[in-house]
Amino acid sequence: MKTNKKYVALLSSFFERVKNRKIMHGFICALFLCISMTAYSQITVNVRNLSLRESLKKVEQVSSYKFFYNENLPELSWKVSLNVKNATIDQAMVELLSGMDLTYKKQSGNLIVLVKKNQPTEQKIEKKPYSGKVVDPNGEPIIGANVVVKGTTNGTMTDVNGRFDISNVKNNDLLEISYIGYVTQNIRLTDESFLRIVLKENTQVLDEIVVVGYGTVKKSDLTGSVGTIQVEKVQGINVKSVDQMLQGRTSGLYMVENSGMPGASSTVRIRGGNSISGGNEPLYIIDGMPVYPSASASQTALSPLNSIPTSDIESIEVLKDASSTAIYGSRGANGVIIVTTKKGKSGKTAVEFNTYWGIQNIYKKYDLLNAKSFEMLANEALENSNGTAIYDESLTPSTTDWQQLTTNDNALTQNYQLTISGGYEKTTFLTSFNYYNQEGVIKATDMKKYAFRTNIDHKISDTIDMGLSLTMTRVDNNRVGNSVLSSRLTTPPNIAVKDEDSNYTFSDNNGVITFDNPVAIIKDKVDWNTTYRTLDNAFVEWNIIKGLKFKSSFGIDINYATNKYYNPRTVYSGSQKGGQAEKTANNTYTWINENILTYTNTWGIHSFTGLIGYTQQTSTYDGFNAGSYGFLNDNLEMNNLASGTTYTAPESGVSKWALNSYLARINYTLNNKYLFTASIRADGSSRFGKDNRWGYFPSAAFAWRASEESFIKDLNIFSNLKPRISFGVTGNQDGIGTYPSYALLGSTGYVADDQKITGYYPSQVANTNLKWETTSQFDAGVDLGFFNNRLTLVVDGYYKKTHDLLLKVKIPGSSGFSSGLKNIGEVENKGFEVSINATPVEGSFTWNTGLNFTYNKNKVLSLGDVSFIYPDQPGQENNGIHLGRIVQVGKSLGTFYGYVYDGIFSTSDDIASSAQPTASPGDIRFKDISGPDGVPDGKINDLDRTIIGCAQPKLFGGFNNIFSYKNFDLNVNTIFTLGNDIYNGTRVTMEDMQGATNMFASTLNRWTPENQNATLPRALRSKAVMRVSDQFVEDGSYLRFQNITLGYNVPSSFLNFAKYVSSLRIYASLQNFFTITNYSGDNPEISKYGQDNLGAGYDSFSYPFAKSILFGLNVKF
Amino acid sequence: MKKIELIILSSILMISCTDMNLVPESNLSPENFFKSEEDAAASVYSIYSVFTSNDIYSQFWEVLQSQGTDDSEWSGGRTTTNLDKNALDKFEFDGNTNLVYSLWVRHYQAINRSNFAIENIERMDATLIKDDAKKMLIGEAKFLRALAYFNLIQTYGAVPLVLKETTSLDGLEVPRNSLDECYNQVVLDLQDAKAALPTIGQLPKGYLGRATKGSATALLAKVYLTKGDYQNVVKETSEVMQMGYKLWSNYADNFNLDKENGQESIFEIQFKRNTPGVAGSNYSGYYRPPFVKINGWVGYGDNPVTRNHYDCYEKGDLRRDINVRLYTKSEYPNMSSNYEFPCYVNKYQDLSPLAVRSQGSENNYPILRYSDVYLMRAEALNAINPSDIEAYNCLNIVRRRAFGLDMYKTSEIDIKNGLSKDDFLNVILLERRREFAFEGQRRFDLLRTNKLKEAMMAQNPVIGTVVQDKHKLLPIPVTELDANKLLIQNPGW
Repeated sequence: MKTNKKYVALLSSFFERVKNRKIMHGFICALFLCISMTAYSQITVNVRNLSLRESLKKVEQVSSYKFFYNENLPELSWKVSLNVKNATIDQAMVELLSGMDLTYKKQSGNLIVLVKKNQPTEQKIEKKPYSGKVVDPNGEPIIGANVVVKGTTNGTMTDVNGRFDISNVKNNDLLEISYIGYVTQNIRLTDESFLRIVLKENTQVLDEIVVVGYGTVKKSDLTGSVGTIQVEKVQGINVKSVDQMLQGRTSGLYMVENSGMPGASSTVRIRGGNSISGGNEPLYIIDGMPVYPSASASQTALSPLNSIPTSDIESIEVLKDASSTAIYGSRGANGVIIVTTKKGKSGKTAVEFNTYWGIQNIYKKYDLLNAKSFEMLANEALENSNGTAIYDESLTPSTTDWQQLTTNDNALTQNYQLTISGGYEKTTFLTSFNYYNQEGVIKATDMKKYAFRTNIDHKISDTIDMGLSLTMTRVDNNRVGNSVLSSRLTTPPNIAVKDEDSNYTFSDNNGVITFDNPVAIIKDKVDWNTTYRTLDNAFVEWNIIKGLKFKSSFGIDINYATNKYYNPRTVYSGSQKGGQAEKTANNTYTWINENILTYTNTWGIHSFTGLIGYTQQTSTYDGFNAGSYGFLNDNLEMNNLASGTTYTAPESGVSKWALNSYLARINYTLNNKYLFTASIRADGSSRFGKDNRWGYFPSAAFAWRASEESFIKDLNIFSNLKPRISFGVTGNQDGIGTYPSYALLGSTGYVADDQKITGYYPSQVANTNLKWETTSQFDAGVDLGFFNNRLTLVVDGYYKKTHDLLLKVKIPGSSGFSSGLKNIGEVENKGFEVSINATPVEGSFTWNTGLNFTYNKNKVLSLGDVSFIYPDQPGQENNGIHLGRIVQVGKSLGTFYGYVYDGIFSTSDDIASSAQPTASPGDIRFKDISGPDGVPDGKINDLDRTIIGCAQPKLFGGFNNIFSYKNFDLNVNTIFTLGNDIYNGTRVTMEDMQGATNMFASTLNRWTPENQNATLPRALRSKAVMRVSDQFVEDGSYLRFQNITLGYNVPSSFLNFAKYVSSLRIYASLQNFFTITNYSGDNPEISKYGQDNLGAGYDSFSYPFAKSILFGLNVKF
Repeated sequence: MKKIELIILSSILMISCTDMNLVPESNLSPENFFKSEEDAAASVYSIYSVFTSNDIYSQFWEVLQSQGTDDSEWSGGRTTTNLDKNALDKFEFDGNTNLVYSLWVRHYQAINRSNFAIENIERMDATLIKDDAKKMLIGEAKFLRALAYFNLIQTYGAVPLVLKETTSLDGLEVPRNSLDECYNQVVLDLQDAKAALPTIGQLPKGYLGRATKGSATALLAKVYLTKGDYQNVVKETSEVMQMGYKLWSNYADNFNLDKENGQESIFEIQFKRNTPGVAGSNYSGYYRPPFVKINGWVGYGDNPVTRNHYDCYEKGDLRRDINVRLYTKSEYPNMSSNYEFPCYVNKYQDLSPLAVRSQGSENNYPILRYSDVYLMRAEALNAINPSDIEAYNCLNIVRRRAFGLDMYKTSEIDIKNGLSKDDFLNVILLERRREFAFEGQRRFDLLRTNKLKEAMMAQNPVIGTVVQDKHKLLPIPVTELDANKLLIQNPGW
């Protein structure tokens, strides 16, 4: 309402400003004339025997006029008839008011005021007219405020200029001025006949509205645990996708950016991970469209959320407890994130332009060997393996710095956003265009995003509203640089980029090592993803009777993703195939229909909201890919697959799923103090067997607004005190594919008579017993407010238990299958979360601070028949290659499992009597922990593995501060985790001591007979089997200054162009400039296997992390 | 306004439940398969393709046979980072070794596909498939099932006999059958296959490379030989000898890409390069040394050949330089300076410019060659009667060919009769080592004759000392024991 009023005020002030400009004046007049003309010529009304009040409403509906009148006019209930066609408003009014003691006055803005024809005679005695203007604290007029003489029915409303005229009053009368959202004021009338009244905003009444599933509630009425992200605090930060806005902003939410690649996916866990094999990401509801952001288990996977624009977001709500998420039933177990975008406001068309521009650089470069020290170590490694040196150490070879050659220094980031919004009383719109371009800190990686959005809302009638939300995006990702993530560090430094013939090098000088030249890749390879996405939602809302409304919506999500790939002949691997080309197109089409009936009513101390609904959703995926290799030259790249000499097998696939749901929820408030919520959702999913298709997900919650009790009020301590408890059941069905319950046949090939023959085989066993993974959650929390809510505290404790895990378990291999998806096992998450918000200093200098932190403890309770599982590396499931992790009953998911490093054998050690009798001085010693009989057996084998770390943090959170002084503001945001470990796989390769590929400069400090106290073993070309050991497990705790922004709101007095610009803000920010951590890699926030729950905390040649400096500008016109 | 309300109302009424019975569209389902002879044949083809996997004949079967014996060893500067290859090589494998599990699972995958084919084809009536075709396809599936079980029995001992297709995730725990039951099943399947499959003279069009009557008969002979049923070996080998197989006069022709599935071939696994959806052979890439660059790529230098193997050939035996090659630093200056004995497998090379390193060459992998029939027969005859002259004849035919001599004319290099049973067995074994080097025979030859430890001691005493009785069988994989509580581990593991 407030903003609404502001826009109108802007409109009028705009008029005032332009009045002295003749041309503008003329233009505005012409504009009004047009509107009036239209109105004059268009009134067609036919009413019969209706009250005057109803008849006026009819006229309002068909015209652009609005009527003001005193509700006590007796004529209003008189029955009248009116039948006019294409009449002017004057004609209509004359006919309508004929025979009455009333006349009308037209005012600007198509206002028509009804007045008595004959002014009462009393006026002559002592009563006189007063007039005045009602404004807000900023001096902007308030339109439609009620002005009433207290104790009488005599009153009026303010007009578009905030002005009012009231007659029939006398000195000493008490005038009451009220407006929603403002403190009501009483003015004792004096002789002064023009009043200027300033209404103050009523912060108590202006209760924050929180979006919840299928509705909104006042924050004070909330019974569940919902975190609200203050979007305005995130804006101005380089944000590529909506999930990035969540990090460190709300308690209970742990977010990891899987790598520094532009457009990389992220991992989000709300109150810990529930599922082992299934999906763990929260469900995003974007303007009513559900989007599940699953990405492949890779650090270079692209985030599906990239195609969701981050601009124009009005609010983000994070639903955490089961009471809030159970209304999403089978998709709620991992939490729900509701994103609502901005809508237009009626009034003057508002134009806003936001931009920022910045440069990024690699946070930390690795210190690598130069050519000379590399050759020295390589020789040493060969000699230690009984070979002879191959490099002449008397020479000083030149060093190729592959790391620097592939680095994109001062990578540019640009963001431009134009938003136009406005509308009339019945129709409002908001439309925006966004262009975002981020270059990666590695060459040949970038992301470009083009987004176009429109929201339109329209009132069809008094009872029917409709709305439309349209989003279109195109995201381009250049992914070429991802191919050099490891080779930019490992490629030997003594090899030149090009050989004498100016061709890119393929191999070392001896021709022994062949490699893909990183510079050739950057220059000539093609790996380009383009995603087009449109997310559209339309709704109709019908207010059937007072309190009862029906809303039906239909949404579509079309995602069309293409990839083009070409590995050229200038790159070794490409040359092997004579250039290799591939094109891929994947199309996903999802539609959803939701129908919700809501009833709200209040009877005395009882207030009630109930809703029932039915929703249905289906999704179809359709993809194909084709490729060929063996090209004459690299000229056509992947653009003419037919010109290759050999075609690779084309692939295509189609899959579908459907979800039908019924839902119901009741909110009941007793005496405005006792709040009850109960909900239930029934979900039927096509993914499960017929007998287990339907799942039922109930929840209940209770909250007590204790601060409304008089005995609490009397304490004078709490401005808010609200304990809450909730319990509910939610489900999960993501991450298990589309047809997990069906028996399927796969195809394969063999050869007979030199011809391919195609075979079919059972690829999946039917599992009709498969059902939902179910999570029960109990939450107890309290909302506290002190000092008139200058200090607020929200504390929640929760316990979640997930059973019937959708677990990929090993089944007897004698069945012909190695694993199957079953409902087996249990996982629990328990923890507490605290968020504190305070304004310790308020005044010309203001300090706002917010701290949130979460402690979460994850534990596997059961795995069915086994007590532990060694998970396979993602993508290596069929090869049995383990991840170096264990899933063990009683332990957390993400537990590292391996050998224990026990130093280096020195010359004086008695190697023969150790567990590694074949070792030599300078080799790594591992701890002999156990043997077949449970005691050390003098051998190092699988039995000597033990738990060596855990990827899950014990504590994580964010600490956000805003300091403002006059027109300056300073944001300082930090995020932190405590107690998580990282397996540094980059070191595993870069400290392998083989001297065949480049290594970290730290390897110079290896074991040698002269350097017995080294932690790194001797250089050795012939390499023993690599063991996962705690040598590479590092503490991943960190504290990061994620963002430091200094902003300045240019005061209007500085703006000579104040006539055009209503507000201007400039800012500069440092992002990720400081990180305090013991982790030796470039970034402790990392996940090689992306969103995979078991592979978290694995670093291996991650895309480098970037720090950036940004400059930004926000202008409102 | 009534109109809009009406529209809304009617749209509510029109809302119907989305259909949740969605049938997979890009996968066939077993319910509507097996409607034609082509469907039936496709179910059988899929069994073959299991054997082309890396876990069996494309790599690890050979790793077991040569790295797990005296033929190859990672040493003298030649190393691998592959945990499995190293564990096999050094006899450090146990129930957690990946290979031990993947070999198990992959063979049962072939068995399940066989069961799937056999059960479903049997159910097809005469309107869907002709009787001849039906019989032949079932015979082919049974041959492949027997091959899988025979491999399993030799590797793990008695195993669970699963003869029904897996159609549910429940009730999959099964105990081991007795060794006799296992062998009986293999024999039964092979006898059925023998009766149903075509002989090489009457192969249907496009059939070349698939299992034949000869394949089944020769495999049956090998099964009997392994069981020690020598009379039956003689009987079955006699039958094979009537089927028209012939040895190439030149040993190298067996590995000539233009002569695959030729006159000496009884059964071989088909690999094909540059064919989408079909496995190419790995051996060209795996065996080529890391310093030999042909057509732009070097190999991985896998299964490094031991001096013990290189030295096992007699002077004049042409097979040595066909099977293996000892490289020299003067020829290949790029060779790593720390290689002590740079000897590599030489027999599977695809020199076509179209070949690529991984799964990209044409070489088939021989399972049964006709010379094996001669040598099996010699072994059986010797076991029955050491003075049987035919045993020497069989052996000498193979020997003469190896020296480039006329196979059917006595020569200087002939083994003269009169050896003791044991001595002649050793001669046959040595002949087999040379004849079938890196053809997936060595480990089982040594086990059958109980000479694994002896051979390993001779090649490398450090490893030989490690070899115990338990190493004759691989352990039952620990993962499998966890998933199937009815299984009992092999003794010693």
